[in-house]
Amino acid sequence: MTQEQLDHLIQKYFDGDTTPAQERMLKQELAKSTYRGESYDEVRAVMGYIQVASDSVAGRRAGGAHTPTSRHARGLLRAAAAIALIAIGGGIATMLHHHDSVSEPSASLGWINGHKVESDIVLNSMATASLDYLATGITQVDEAALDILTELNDALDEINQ
Amino acid sequence: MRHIFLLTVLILSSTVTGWTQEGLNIARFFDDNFLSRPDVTAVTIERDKLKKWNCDISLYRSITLVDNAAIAQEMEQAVKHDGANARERTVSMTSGHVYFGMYVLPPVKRNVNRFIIFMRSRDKENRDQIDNMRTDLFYIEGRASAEDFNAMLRAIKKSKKK
Repeated sequence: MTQEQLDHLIQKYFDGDTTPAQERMLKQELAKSTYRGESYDEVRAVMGYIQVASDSVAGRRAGGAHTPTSRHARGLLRAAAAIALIAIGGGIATMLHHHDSVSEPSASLGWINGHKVESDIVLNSMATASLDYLATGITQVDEAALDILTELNDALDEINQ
Repeated sequence: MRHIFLLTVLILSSTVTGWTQEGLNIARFFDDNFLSRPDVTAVTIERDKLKKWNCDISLYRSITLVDNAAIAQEMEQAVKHDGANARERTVSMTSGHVYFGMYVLPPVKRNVNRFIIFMRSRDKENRDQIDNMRTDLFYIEGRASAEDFNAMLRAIKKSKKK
């Protein structure tokens, strides 16, 4: 996997668009020491927290003994819980903020005469149609401006004659 | 602890999407209450779904209003107010009304340009008159410049002709 492909996969991961197979592939790639740098370390940290937290839950369910490793895992699980609480708090704060402000688009969507549309194909075709209309409009504006300039030019010619 | 902070920042930054239209007079026309009107067709497209246009746009919003002179007039006023602070503008008027206006607003985020485009159809019989059959309002955000955006429109027009 090239670095560019890895970066693309990381972006997809944070967008929530990765499949479980892609996430496994991403973890495998990040486990390699080839990719160095703070940004990759941050992704490893985020993915590591999620992985360790789920592993420790699985270990407890299996009735594992309280070894130093499981204590460490419990600590990480607490950290994950803290993160979740912060995230929930942040989410609520964000929702309240949005409630007070102007409507904010949360995703791509459309409206056709009072009916909500969410299909990507329809949205794309709507956007293309509106841009095409705009492109035509701009051409007409240019032509109209040219007409005015031509008329002015003709008028000046007449005056000069 | 550093990681907790990092993850919190990541989560919060992903929930707060870029929508810097707040504070603009045109913002009220992009409210769901307005968009769900029977005389309105609107579309909002964000980020990845805009890649196919090969123009660095992160948010595309358009509204088409049909046959409603009163609201078209309100839109025009809102656009004029917002356009008063524009960095660049191209405006065409007829009989005292804007029938085409393209405004590039000062960026509120680093390197993110904001465009407002307003377009009304003109009477085919009398080009000096506004026809209220159709009014379009666009709000676009992205790193693209006005030149980039115009190039994209030309490309769309060219591909349509083929």
